[in-house]
Amino acid sequence: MKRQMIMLANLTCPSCGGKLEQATAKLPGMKSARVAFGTGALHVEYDEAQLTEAQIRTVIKQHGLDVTMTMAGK
Amino acid sequence: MMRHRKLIVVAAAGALAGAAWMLKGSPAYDVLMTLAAVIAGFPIARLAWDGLRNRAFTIPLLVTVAALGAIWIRETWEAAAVTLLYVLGSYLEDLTLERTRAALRSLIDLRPRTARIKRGDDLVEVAADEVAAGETVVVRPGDRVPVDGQVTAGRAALDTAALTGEPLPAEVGPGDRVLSGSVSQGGYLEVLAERVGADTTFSRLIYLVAEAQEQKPKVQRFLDRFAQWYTPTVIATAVALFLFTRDVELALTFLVIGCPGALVVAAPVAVVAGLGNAARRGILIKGGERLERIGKVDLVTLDKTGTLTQGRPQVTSVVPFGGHDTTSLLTLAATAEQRSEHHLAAAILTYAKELGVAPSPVGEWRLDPGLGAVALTERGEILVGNRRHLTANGVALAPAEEAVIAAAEARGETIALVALGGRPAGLLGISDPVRPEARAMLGALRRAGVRRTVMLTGDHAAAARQVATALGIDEVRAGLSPADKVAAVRELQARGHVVAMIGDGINDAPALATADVAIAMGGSGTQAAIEVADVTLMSDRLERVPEAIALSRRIMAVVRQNVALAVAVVLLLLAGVVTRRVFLSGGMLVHEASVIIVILNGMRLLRS
Repeated sequence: MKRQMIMLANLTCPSCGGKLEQATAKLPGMKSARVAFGTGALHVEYDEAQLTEAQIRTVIKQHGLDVTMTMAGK
Repeated sequence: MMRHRKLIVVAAAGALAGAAWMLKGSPAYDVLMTLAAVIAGFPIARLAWDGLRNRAFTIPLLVTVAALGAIWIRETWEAAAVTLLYVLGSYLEDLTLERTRAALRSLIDLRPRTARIKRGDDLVEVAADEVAAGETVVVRPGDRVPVDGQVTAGRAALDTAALTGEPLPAEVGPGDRVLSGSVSQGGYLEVLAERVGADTTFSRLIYLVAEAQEQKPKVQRFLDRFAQWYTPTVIATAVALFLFTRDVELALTFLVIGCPGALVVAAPVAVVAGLGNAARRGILIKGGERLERIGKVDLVTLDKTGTLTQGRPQVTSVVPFGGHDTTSLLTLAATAEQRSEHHLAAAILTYAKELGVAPSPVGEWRLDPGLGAVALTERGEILVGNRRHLTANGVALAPAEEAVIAAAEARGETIALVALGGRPAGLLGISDPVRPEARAMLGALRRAGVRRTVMLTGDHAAAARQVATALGIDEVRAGLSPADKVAAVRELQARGHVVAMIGDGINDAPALATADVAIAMGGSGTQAAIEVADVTLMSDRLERVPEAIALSRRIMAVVRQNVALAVAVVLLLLAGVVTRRVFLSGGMLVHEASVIIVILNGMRLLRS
């Protein structure tokens, strides 16, 4: 299991965050996905054998959001 | 960019409304005004819908309903004005949201990214997250320590400011523990990794800030709380009016007059004027919604180093030993330190320069990391450094000299010992002086209604108590880690205090984010502290803190006056509408007059 904190640019509406959360949670191999609106971060925990960071980034992009940086999550 | 969408909306709708004004009297007027209201109103309608789904009656809902009503009864200008003013206000709010998030990004930027791992005789560079516990990493000058661990070989001066807030580097050697995020200022270290990746102290510092920002209760603005009962009352009354009179025109007039421009601009005008006044005094307040909190602060926590003190070490005492005087001692120290980039050297050289003492020429010179400098001169070998440095070079201290050193240490000074030709020549005491305005600021805080002051510092208890006693601070908590500072702020909040925190360091950032009101030193403060702060003091003028509290109260008072005035006018007008004494055109005129009064009242805040 890999945990990451993905920092998002231009996340300005809470409901957009909710939609991203639902979409990423549906990815195969995703154990948990949570958007923290106050900090503009997506916290994910996923199985690296089934899912890659690139795939998560694609979904983020599809929601019109950009990734500024990622770091190991808690 | 999403962020600029609202600005585009304001510009487009504003241009349309402007065009409509020029075509006043023509049939195009109503069409253009309606278009402007639709463009500006669409995002508001969405907010209103979001609010309704959460069972919240919001100002956007009132604006939406009133704008629709205004279009219905052909008051298209009113619809355009009310929606435009609202979108402009919410654009300004978005700008402050982005700034809050920048705090976390600048911290993540600072985290160690790469590590040099020792494998046999080879050094391999890897991403800092990929180091495993049990591996040995090598830290060279300028490197950030990538892991928490124990020094197995080498010596170095480590800048731990990110974690402790202290500007003076710590000297470490074999057996000492080091923390990730410290920066090596010189020397060589081999560190056995114990905690890595997400478990390191620096990673946890980042999570602390993230958590604090998530958990900080969103302060509901005064106007939002007001809308919670005002909006349903107006809408319900309009509906009731229609049901009783069956007069659509009357009900819609009621609705439109019930949502005055004065109410929508009441707060923004006062807030923008007040924040402008604050900015002229060097107080940057990040957003209007923080003003109410700032005005309610009753307990202030303060960091010591860099906040109450200047954060720049200076020579504060010079004690020559037998056969030397102040000038000769300073000459020796400056001579030995002139090539050094050591943190204490800068303080010594600055002081020598101030007194007009010039260093003598130096032959051979070397720096022993963690100990001090050695310089060969015509007068013999000069040593400047700590006690271990002298001992290592065979210099013994007399009991009287030991007593002088102990006294300086008790004053909280860092000691640089000087020796010439194998004999002690004297000591220089270096400390970080208290800001001259700190004492007056603490007095002014009390007058501004702050009941208690608490120092939260990563420094040792002795140095902390020294400063606290001199300034009259009520309580001292020393030796705190960033997480301890957060815990202290939480505990004070749990006792019912509205807590402000004043700080400057990266180590203060989590506590700043946790406090109800975060105040950062803008001049000397770190980016992380400034970005997490609600209030930033430009040029570090501490005396501005009480001013910020007093000004916030004034701004909130004007906001309340404005809202009260807007509502009072509305109530009178509505009474007139219901009793059929006030009609639409006259009502609108009074409306616009109240907008002007509210704006003028808000502008008072521009004056000091």
